[in-house]
Amino acid sequence: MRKLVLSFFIVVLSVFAPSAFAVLNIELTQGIASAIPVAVVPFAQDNQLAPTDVTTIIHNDLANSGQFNVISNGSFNQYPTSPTSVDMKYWQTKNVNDLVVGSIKSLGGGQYKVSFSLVSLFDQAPNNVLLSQEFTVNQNELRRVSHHISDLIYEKLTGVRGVFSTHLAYVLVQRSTSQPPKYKLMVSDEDGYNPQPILVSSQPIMSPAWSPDGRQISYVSFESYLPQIYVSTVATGQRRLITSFNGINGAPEWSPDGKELAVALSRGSANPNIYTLSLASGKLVQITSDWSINTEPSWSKDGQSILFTSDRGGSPQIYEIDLNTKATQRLTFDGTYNASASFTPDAKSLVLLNRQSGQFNVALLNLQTNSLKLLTKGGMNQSPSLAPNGKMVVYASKAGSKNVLAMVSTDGTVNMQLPDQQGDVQEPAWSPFMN
Amino acid sequence: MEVLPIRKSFSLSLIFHAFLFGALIVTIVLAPPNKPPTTLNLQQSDKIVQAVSVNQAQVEQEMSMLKNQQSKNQAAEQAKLAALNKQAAKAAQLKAQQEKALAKLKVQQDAAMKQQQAQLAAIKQQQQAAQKQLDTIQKSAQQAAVKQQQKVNEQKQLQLAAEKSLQQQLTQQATQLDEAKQQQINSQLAKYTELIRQAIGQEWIIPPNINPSLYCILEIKLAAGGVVSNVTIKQSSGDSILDRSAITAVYRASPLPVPSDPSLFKQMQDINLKVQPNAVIK
Repeated sequence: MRKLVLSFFIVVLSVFAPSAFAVLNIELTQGIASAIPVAVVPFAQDNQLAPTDVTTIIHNDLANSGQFNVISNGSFNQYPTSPTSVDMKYWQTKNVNDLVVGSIKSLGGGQYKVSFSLVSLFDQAPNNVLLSQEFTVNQNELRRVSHHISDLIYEKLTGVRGVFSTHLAYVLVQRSTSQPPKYKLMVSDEDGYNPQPILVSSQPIMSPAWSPDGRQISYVSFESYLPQIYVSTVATGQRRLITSFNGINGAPEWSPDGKELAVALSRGSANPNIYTLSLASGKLVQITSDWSINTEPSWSKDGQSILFTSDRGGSPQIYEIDLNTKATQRLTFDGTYNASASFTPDAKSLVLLNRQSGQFNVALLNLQTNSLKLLTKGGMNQSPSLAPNGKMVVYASKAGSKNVLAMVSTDGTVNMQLPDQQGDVQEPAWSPFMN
Repeated sequence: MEVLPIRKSFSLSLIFHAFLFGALIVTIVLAPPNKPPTTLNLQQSDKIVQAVSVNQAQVEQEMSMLKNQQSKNQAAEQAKLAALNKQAAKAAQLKAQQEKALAKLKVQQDAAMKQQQAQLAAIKQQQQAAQKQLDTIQKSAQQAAVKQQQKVNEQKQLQLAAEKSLQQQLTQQATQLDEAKQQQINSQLAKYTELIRQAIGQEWIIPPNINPSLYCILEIKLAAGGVVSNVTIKQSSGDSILDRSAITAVYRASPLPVPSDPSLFKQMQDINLKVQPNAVIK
């Protein structure tokens, strides 16, 4: 009975609703792909100035991510430090959607309290305060907390996890006329700051790769004049030798569960093939077996297949092999050279190095449409490595006479160089999320 | 019985007074002309009585004269009576004559009466006929009136029908006019709907990595001039990023393009906006 009454009411309402409340229905399906306009208001500080410029770190993180258009400090003259002191009308005229405000307070003894809030300028209070947190840190943690704040803001506004607290591994080659070259396995913050050597060698170091937990790095070292695969623990520098087969020991890559390495081994033959190696038992399984070059293995996210580069078709191209069935298919057809491939997190695309007309560029291959999109220009680029959120790619790029760290967003909108390092950068590898 | 003595004494007193009056007259007439006029007062009454009692002869003379006069009168009376008798006879004769005439008249009258009655009957007959005619006329007049009334009624109904059809025609015309107007309104609505869609779309930054099957519905309220006065989430997409991107786009697009016509604007004041990421404009 009640149901009947209810349905009656619904019928009555549905009959009278349109005339009584004339509501215009509009459907919106098209928008723009654009960076979100935001402002980072300089954090208020007391007399005890913090040694780290928190505001600038956050500003640059957001600006370099490609997802934000961070307006410059010169374009505003109000400096609120908390949500309550934000003049919404003023900031709306500054053409920004969201505002970062905060303060840094010295607590003495090298300790600081960092507070920040993220305020949406087009939402109603109290919903407009999207984030509001504070952290008490030592002064040497100020940079880290700044990146953490950037991560929080990034995720809040884009829905995608930020990578500002992740790291880069790369090989730095320092050459001088007076001395033999130095090879350093380096780890830095994601923005290139705070570079630390993990290993220094007089012989080449190649192909660094992060373990899925971010604690270890595998690499190829020529320290014994022959290529060997090692794993180093980042925090302690502790290392162990993994493979030392005849011939090529190259291109180690961690399985998603971190229990295996995919490697390229020639094992006395002329050309390398792809193998998987159990880190616990040392058990070796051959994946490819032919007389062409098969190298640069990279795991699918589910660990069921491996991408690799092979010249079996006459030129280097990307292939995918199913680890159970050994079924292999070629994925790339554009250009005479495609190499160094890895899956994007959504597994819908590959990031790879493409050569066309002698130009080496980072490219994105859409596996559904088979369309290849070049992300970089210049043609002197190498070794693309995807950020764990799939939004940015780090690569080595020739700038003048030097190789430097560079980044490009996977939508191609942001491309930048990281701070100059003391030497030539080779083979950068983006770390996973650090938990 | 007692009246008689009173009448006797009254006659006696009358006679006496008549006598007295006569005596007085005589006295006045017989008084010596040279005698100075006597003043009539009560002290002199003795002298008047004395004067009457003195002239006895004169009274007697007077009496005889009276007697003479009376007999004269009696003769006249008798003559008169005779004349009267003569007259009575004459009257009787006249009466007979008159009666005779009357009888004659009566006969005449009866005849006249009869004639009159006959005339009356004729008149009555005429009247009845007239009445009959009148009745007939009235009846036919009534029928005519009824007919007339019916005719009037029919005409009235016809007029009503005509009015009704006219009214219907008018209503139809009004409806057609309304429909035309509504069509115009609809085309205007469609135009501004598209303008609003474009205005918000230009401001809507589609969040990266958004699931294209998600959508949210916003309730937008517009103030004068298309200023966005309020935006609420009617149905969340479940993804706060998408919801917020849509809300922000609506506020950023404020003021929205709206018609200046107030009645048209009224139809655009409340908007339900369904936002679903499908395509990127640029």
